[in-house]
Amino acid sequence: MSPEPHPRHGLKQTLLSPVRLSIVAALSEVERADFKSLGAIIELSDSTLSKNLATLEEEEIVSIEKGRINRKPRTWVRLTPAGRQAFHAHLEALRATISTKYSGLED
Amino acid sequence: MTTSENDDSYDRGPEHAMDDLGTAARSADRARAGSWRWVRIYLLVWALASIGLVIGLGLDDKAVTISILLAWVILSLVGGIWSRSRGLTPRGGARRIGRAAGLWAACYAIVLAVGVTRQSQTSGFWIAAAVFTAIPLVVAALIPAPKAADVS
Repeated sequence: MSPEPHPRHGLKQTLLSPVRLSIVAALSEVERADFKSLGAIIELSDSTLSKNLATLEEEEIVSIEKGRINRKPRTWVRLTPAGRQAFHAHLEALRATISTKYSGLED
Repeated sequence: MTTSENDDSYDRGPEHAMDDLGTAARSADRARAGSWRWVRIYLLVWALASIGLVIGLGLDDKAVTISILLAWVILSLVGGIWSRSRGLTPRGGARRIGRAAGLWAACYAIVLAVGVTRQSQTSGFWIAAAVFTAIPLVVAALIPAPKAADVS
């Protein structure tokens, strides 16, 4: 019987960046967030947030839409269903990585 | 895309994994707290306004009653515009507001039915009725925010 693959294989490459992981974790708790509010929560500059959101959008983890509220332009960001699934799988892989350590200590 | 054997950037051991989980948990907690904050404020202001409205209905002075009804309409419009302009929409927030609104409407209808049909209601009745209509809104505001994912 072949051994189980190491949990790290379940990690999502894009989410190994702490900044992108923070963005996705924050979005996992909301229906949608506007650009400014998201930046304020994660304490990121507009340029860093914009760059990382572009990467996440390219990977189809987030979707970005522009709109207007009370005649003011707003950029809305939300987690896609695939992004939510990837985030949960990534969390599971992280937990499995930790439990691998402790099960190894018991041996 | 997942990590592979050829991925040189991969260096996530258990300590890194714990750090990553901590990072995710902090971000998720901040987003959850921030997104629910305005929902709580919205519901509590609505509860206070409802108390004012129902007490206003019980007053004998028609001019004051009409002023309170007018203030209610203005506050409802401002509240609607304000809630739509919030930058964070919590998961399940609209559902909670909708349920609270439905229960508030039911309580308000009961109060009106009892209060208006019985002409001899005392001021004590209207004060109790005002608090009664605020209960669903206060309860909805104080229920802890649900976690979307177990990020810990």
